[in-house]
Amino acid sequence: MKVFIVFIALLVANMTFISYQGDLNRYIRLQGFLKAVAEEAAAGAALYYDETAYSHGVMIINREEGEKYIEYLVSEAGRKLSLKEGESLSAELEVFDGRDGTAVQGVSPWVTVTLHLNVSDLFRLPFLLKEQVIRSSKYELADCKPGC
Amino acid sequence: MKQLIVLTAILPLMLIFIAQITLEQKNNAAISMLQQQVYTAKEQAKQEGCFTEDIINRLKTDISTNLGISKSEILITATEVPQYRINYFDSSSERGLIHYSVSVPIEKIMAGGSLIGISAADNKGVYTVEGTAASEKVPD
Repeated sequence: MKVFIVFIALLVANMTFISYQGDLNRYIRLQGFLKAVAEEAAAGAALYYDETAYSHGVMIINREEGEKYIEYLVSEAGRKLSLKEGESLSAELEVFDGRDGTAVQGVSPWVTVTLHLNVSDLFRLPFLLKEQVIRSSKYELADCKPGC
Repeated sequence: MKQLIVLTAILPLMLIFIAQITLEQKNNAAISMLQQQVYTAKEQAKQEGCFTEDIINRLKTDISTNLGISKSEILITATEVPQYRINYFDSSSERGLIHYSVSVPIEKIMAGGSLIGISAADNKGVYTVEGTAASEKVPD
């Protein structure tokens, strides 16, 4: 009986560790994936700009086109993640450009995209709970200083 | 004697756990490395407008060297026709966008597979990194 109890204890400890290791690795990979999506979303959204304003020396990001691009990336990312019912991936776009006075403040325009992933618990162990992952990325048009 | 017999039965089971932990670490390190290599190649492709032959060859060489697998086992499907930066989002997602998908085989998923009845063919997997990026290349 003693040997059996020791065996069960070792089995439970090993199962717990393997489960934790697998889930943690998956969580880290998920973070890496969302980081790449957020970076791409911010960099891509910053590509669309108002040509008329640009001809007058003001950089204004075209939010409408940027949002369309982000929406596309988010829907593709959601598909790759195989989100289940009740799980969601959303993006938040923040733009700071000529309309916000980059020229007056002497700073470069930037775009920030924040991704919010809501999922059912990422860890199978009952004492660990992780239901939300947030990743944010900022893309700055450094070569577009005031006067550009 | 009884305890020795029990130990003989239990030991292989316990060793599988240790081997599995190590294997999991190895596979995860390989996947993380693959993610990094692909994202680096994607940044280069954005500048070039597509995955050029040079970028694909370099990516294959890097993955092959780091993961220790043959180049022929790496499957890369990517936009190879130059896409140029456009000032609007094309809803058909054909213009101005670069799509990529890189797959590599995972040789072994479970340690001691044959011991617990998993055949070598079932104990394999494929990991894929895929995505889309907006081209930054402007026409010459």
